[in-house]
Amino acid sequence: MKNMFKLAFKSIKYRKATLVLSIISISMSVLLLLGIERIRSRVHDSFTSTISGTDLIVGARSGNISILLSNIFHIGYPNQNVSWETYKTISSKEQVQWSIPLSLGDSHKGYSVVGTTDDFFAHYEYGNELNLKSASGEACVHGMHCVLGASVAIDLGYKIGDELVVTHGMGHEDFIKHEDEPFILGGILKPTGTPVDQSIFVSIYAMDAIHSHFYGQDSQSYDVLAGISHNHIEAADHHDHDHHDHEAEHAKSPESVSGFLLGLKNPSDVLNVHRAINEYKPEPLTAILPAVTLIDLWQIVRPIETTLIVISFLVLIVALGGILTNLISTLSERRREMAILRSVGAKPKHVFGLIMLESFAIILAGILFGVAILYLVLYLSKPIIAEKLGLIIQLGWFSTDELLSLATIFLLGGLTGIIPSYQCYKNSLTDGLMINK
Amino acid sequence: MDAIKIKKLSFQWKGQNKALLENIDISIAKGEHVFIQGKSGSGKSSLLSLLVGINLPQTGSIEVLGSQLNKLSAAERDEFRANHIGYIFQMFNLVPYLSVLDNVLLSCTFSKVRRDKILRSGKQPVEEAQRLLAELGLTGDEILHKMVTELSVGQQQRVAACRALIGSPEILIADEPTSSLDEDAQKSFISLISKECSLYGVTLIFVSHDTRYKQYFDRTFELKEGQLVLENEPQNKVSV
Ligand SMILES: Nc1ncnc2c1ncn2[C@@H]1O[C@H](COP(=O)(O)OP(=O)(O)O)[C@@H](O)[C@H]1O
Ligand SMILES: [Mg+2]
Repeated sequence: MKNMFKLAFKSIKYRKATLVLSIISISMSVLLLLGIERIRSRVHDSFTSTISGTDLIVGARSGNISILLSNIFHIGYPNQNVSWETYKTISSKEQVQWSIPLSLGDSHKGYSVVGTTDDFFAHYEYGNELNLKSASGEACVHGMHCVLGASVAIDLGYKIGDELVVTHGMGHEDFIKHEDEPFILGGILKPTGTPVDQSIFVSIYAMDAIHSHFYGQDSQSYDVLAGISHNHIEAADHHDHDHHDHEAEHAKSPESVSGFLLGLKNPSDVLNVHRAINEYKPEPLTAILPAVTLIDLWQIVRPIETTLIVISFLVLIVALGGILTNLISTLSERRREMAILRSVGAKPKHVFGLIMLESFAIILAGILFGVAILYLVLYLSKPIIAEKLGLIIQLGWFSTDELLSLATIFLLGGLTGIIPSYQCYKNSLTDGLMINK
Repeated sequence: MDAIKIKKLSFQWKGQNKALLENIDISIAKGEHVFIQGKSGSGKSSLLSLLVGINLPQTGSIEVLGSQLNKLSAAERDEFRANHIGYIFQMFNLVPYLSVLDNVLLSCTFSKVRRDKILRSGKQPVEEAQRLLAELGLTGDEILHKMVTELSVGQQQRVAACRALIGSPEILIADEPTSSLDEDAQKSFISLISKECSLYGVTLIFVSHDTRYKQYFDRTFELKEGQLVLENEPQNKVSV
């Protein structure tokens, strides 16, 4: 057996020029297969872990997916709001530990502006129980301060202290601007790989005040704003983290919210609270369990995922066809060599084994090379992908799925050697000895 | 005892409508040097393939070193051949990716009988390979570890002869081994292998379409129209 390995090794070395091509084509398909798999599973993970610490998302009665899309992904706009009273009533239930109100519908240069409270930064979790962290400045939305997601800050090139004007609606410049009431950039968040990166956060009170002022519903709007600013200074002096309650006391409460997130004291209450909200009498509401609805949402993009996997397997089949033709084409050159081996006593099983060993060695080299390139590419492109796609690709060890597809490639690739091995086994002696050229 | 005894042998390739070899009878004694001559296509290589048990005749029997080849299974014939018969081809005799030494040692790699014969004489296969190569004029580490593709054709044929001879097979078969050599090299190659065969009592069967060297052999046959015809039995073999 040791001799067989030595022979196979030397034979491969001798034929390296042509084999390198096989190895490269295999490693490219391994690269593609694993790369697609990595990105796919990363997209899947980052998608399903967009929001993790939240037990329920509540909005006015509508479909589960539309509540998730509008509140978390800022896609679409809820056509009904939830009244502030309802929000207050539900968030003061005894099972509720925390609540985050969300007010949507404004934008800044195409990025959605989310009105919320500082509770957002305290309680929102994504991924594996990760909290939002500020990369610079402070993650709080007091008064006219706003906080930017990582991608927004990079794309728009803003610095702490810059002023932002919010537009009503989702247009770029076309809609009505609230120009006389700019926000001041107070903090920038670290990248999360979630829609948070694409959002701008402002105080829900300030947002409401601007709207009221703009629509002339409240003649005292300027006073209200002054009240908020004043309150902010006060709160900052106290370093009081519950200060939004103070704010709420001093400032006028918004009339309604687009939706709100709830965290419960005891996770086992989820179903009870869920039912209670859905049956809430004063106002028709829908509460969703984010993890469940995220999976429903992911099912919608399943066909794309499947297509990607099919494409990468087709690529693999082409590469395997490549090794097969390579082995078969070198076979005719090798008939004489095999005949020599047979004439010195190599048995058919040796000839068979030699070619099988070679095909397995080639596929193994291809896989190792492909994996090495994959890691290199991932390592080099990590910052770019994180920045452009908001995906944080881990360089970690293989998943079970990946190991399984690598094992499949290894087996299928090695087994392509059976065809040429069998031919050689059948032909080697008679053919080889009778070739007189 | 005869090394090879062929009785009433007839052979026809599959798909051919005419027998290539008909009713051949020949006995070759142990240690005898036989020259078989014949035009290209006359069936010399086919006859050799029968002698070494690659193919089996339709009728007749072949006995080699006391074994009836047609009574052995294919695997047994493979093993028998590896253990007892050395084979030199016309060209491309060597495995291109192995060194000179490794090519010679190949015979011992696959045949335990040959390896054991060397070990029993108190030597390692490597030493025996070096000795044989030196006898055929290939000495020095430099040449021993060269890739065979860097050798001249004449040197390659000598390496092939060493590989056929290592581990003392009883029979050496050479199928037109000199036709790719120039005249001087042909002559020295033939004299080298017949000297080696005499030295170890090896039965030599040498096949060629070139009749010039038949005086170096005990007997010469010509293969013609499926028959093996005895040409000459020189009273005095020219000593080499
Ligand atoms: N593997 C084979 N299958 C069928 N016919 C063969 C095969 N090898 C040789 N022959 C036929 O046998 C005849 C003799 O060939 P060969 O024994 O090689 O002659 P020589 O060695 O004397 O030149 C040729 O005419 C060839 O057609
Ligand atoms: Mg021939």
